[in-house]
Amino acid sequence: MIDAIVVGSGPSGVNAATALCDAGLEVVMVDFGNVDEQAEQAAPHEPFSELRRHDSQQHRYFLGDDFSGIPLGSVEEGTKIAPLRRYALRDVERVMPVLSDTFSAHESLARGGFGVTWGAGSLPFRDADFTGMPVGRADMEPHYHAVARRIGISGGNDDLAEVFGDCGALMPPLDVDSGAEQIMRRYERYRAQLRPKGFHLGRARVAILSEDLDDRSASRYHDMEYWADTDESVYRPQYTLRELRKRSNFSYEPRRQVQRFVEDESGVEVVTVGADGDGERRFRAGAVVLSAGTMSSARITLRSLDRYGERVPILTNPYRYVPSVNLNMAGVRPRDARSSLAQLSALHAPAGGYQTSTTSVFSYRSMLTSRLIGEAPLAHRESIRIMRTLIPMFAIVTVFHEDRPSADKWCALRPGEGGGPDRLEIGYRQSDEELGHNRASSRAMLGCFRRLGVWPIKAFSRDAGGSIHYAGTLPMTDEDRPLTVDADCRLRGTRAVYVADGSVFSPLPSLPLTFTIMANADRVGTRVAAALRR
Amino acid sequence: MARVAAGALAAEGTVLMRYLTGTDPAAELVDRYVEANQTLLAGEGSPADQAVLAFALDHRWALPLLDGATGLAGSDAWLRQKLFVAAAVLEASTHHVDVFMPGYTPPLVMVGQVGFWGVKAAIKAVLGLPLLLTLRWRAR
Repeated sequence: MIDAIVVGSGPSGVNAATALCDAGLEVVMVDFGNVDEQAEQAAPHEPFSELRRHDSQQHRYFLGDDFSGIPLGSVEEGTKIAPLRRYALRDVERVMPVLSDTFSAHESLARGGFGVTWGAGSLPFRDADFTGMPVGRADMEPHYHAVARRIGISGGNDDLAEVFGDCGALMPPLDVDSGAEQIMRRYERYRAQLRPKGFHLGRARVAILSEDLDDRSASRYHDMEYWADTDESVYRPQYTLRELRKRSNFSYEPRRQVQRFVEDESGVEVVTVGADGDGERRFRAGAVVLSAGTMSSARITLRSLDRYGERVPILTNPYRYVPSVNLNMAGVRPRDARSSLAQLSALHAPAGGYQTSTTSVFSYRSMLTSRLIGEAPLAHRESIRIMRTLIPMFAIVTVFHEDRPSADKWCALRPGEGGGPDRLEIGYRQSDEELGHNRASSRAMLGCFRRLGVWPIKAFSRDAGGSIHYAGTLPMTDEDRPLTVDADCRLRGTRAVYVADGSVFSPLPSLPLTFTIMANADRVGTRVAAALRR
Repeated sequence: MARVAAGALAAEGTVLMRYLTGTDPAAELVDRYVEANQTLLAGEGSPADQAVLAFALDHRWALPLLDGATGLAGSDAWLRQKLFVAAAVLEASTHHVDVFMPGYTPPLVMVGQVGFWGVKAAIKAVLGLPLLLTLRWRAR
């Protein structure tokens, strides 16, 4: 008999499965698992500047064969999915429809989930970020270490280490680009003024290799990470899945969509339908770990427990995208070799303040100049030339805020109509107080950046849900109430159904969630293994 | 009908891309422009959009002015969207790298260049706006 079924192959699923396999259990992963084998072969492993000059096929990965890389309308920021990765969105609307006028839901049925396109930010939660949850940093610490060793995270011994600790397993930091280097120099001058305000800046901790790890190579600073995985230096869950598939106690069942679980005296059964419309197939195990993503795990749970129409909470990080001018770059010749993901991270946590906000800083260099000209109210011919000149001085500052549950942030499962799939209805509204706190927190954060010579041009607030950070649908709590999980992330009212993805985190701190999701999944895997052995 | 439409798009793309770079575009870029338009801008646009685009294509002297004026008018103007598509197609190729690729510019030169192009863009917009409004009004 199978010991455990893991639902989903995203960041949480692969780490839960690894912990279970490491414990010697028989594990089956059931996954929708969309792939595009050709996509990742389309971009050569060469620097961005060389590809631009020499590759006659560059339009395939910069624009996409469907031209999805040409954003008509407002420029979207770095979280917009590059053309080669848009397969991550395939089938979602067909099989997992969402009803909402107030929430922009993004989900993935890809092998690797949204890990195929994440920005690799990997800050752990501080102890304060676990407030309201029955676990703390100490519970997560060994799992942060385990995941950091497994996936490879690079980071510096700087002010961020003072705030977040070093997880004991960081690789040396990546080299930052010229723009970030200039900002860091300025930070050294103004550090004594900024730190009492609760502002801490350091090199971004990212799941990008600065040293070789197993079969994966260290970054060669080709500045192509936004567009394609031309090497494997940026962590993707499918690399862990590849390793799992080599193990004799792991099997992978793709092209299956989990509909519900059914628990009885002898175990748990998951009922699946085929991704290609073929029939039902069931898998039985001693335990099930739901790692399908915050919204999907909620769907499966609500359907399984026949709780249609019942509201559960949903959280998302409010998010601002702030194109800025880095005045420090005036007169500085930018280096060509660089990584295109986040260069710096900052935390603003004023003492006694309501809000923390977290920021990442990116340069713009490997984005296409033409993407910017649509936003400038200028003639295109002049706009191209102006942007080309100014881009070395541009920085993108992304600001994330925390989110807390309220009655105005909910989702509910509605039955499908006419044989169609169930729909997830989502309502989301922040209170005036929350909006005010976010604005104040943004102002304070951007004020610190002005001090560092980074001047915002315009702040774009994304729609609720646009951050693609979701949490809180099945919160982890000490309170024994339905549709919550306990400290082991076991779904209350069940014996052996566990939840290992973002669903369990409530409230939602401003920090990037994925690293903590992975660490918690590793923790859940070890708890499930211990429970099954009892 | 489809072949005629593609031919018209090819002629349109040639004009727009020549305007943006100052040189005739390679055949592959024109083909890609046609394909991009057929994918992204498959509709016909409003009568006002069609009038503005047709005037710009028939009167080359007006294209820079209307380009400037539509910058003020908003990103959904048909001509503006087509120029945006043309720019993206031009950039994602090896043919015009130096037109688009950012590089180092000494500060004083940067200020001078940005100022020069900024003033040029502003003049285009000011001169083009009455023309744009007239064309739109006539197309009602």
